[in-house]
Amino acid sequence: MLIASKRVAAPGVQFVPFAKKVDHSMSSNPLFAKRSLLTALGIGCALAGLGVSWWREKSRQEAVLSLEARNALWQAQLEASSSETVSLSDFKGRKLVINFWATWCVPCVEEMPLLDAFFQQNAAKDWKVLGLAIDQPSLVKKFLTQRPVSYPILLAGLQGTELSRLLGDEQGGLPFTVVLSEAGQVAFRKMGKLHPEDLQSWLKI
Amino acid sequence: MLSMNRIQEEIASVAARYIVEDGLEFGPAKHQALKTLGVSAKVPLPSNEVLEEAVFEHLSLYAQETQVQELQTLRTLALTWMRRLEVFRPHLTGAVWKGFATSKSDIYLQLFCDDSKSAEIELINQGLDYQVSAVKGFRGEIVDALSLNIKHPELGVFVGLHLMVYDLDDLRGALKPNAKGRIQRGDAKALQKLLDASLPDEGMC
Repeated sequence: MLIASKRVAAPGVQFVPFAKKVDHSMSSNPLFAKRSLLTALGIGCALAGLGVSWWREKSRQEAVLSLEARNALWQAQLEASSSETVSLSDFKGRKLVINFWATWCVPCVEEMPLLDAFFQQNAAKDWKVLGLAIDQPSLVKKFLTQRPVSYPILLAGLQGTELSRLLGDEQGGLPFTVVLSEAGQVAFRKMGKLHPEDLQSWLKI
Repeated sequence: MLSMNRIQEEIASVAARYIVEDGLEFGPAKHQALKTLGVSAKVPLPSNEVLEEAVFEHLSLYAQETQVQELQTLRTLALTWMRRLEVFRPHLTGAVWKGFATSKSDIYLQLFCDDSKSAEIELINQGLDYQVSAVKGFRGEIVDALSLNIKHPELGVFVGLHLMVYDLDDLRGALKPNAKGRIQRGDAKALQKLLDASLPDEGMC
């Protein structure tokens, strides 16, 4: 049972039609109104409970990276916008922010100054930031001449798409950001634009 | 023919450096060596056996005191976990077994189980956080890899531990030496022997 839930996500979906049915049959009778409200509340709580436990289970299992994901990450050799080859293994054991982005992605471009400021403030505290561009190298290089950032930008291309999927971006959406702790645990993961609070929370890692 | 051998030796010696210094796996190290040397991707790559010899040669030339200590630390840590998982007939493999591990290396244990689910159930019972992925096993088949992050009790550093789940039958013939006379894996007893052999002769209390 436990193993099944580790491999297949999200139980609880089958409870939804059941909740609807209860609500329907009793609400017309005033005698049952209070009871039906209580029942609905009870089911609501149960669902919320299930939601929480599912979320816990999901976040618990995702804190650790699989061997497949680790191999893809730490074995990657990517070309930087500066044209040198970067081994991601150099960043193993560091507090590391990995930001997947593209030049055509508006929220990606909007959050770059935030990441840049974070990098400048925390580089001395042993924080590393990497921007992995899933885009054409020529477009990335041109973009960076106009809007430069101080953290390294790597030209990840298709390899980047695969890497983001293995790190938990199942829909392949951008921007996608993962923060790894020194222990190599996933301490933060977000698909969508970053907010200043997100970056604040990283400092507690 | 001779020049082809020469190229392969060259690829092997450059790849060996990536394995020892960057902690790359054999495959990516070979490809990176091709890139560095600017050799066509059509050139046949050196075999793993040839590469392994190059790694030992690299170590004998450039081995450092720190590498010896890091190896010793990882081997001691591996032994602790092998004892903890004793019922699954754990065998140490990879860089930690072979002797070219550095602080960037993970520990790879092959488990030979009567029941393939038992190892996973044991991890759950011990309350350990792990993630499953399917990887290619040493016989070329797909096996489950259970990955954890473990902390070294004295040094406080984190190390990746991967448990590859094999059937009991797979152990048959797995301890035969290869063409170079090297054995690819060892149980707790064999590891203890390696550790005892590397104890310093002088300066003991």
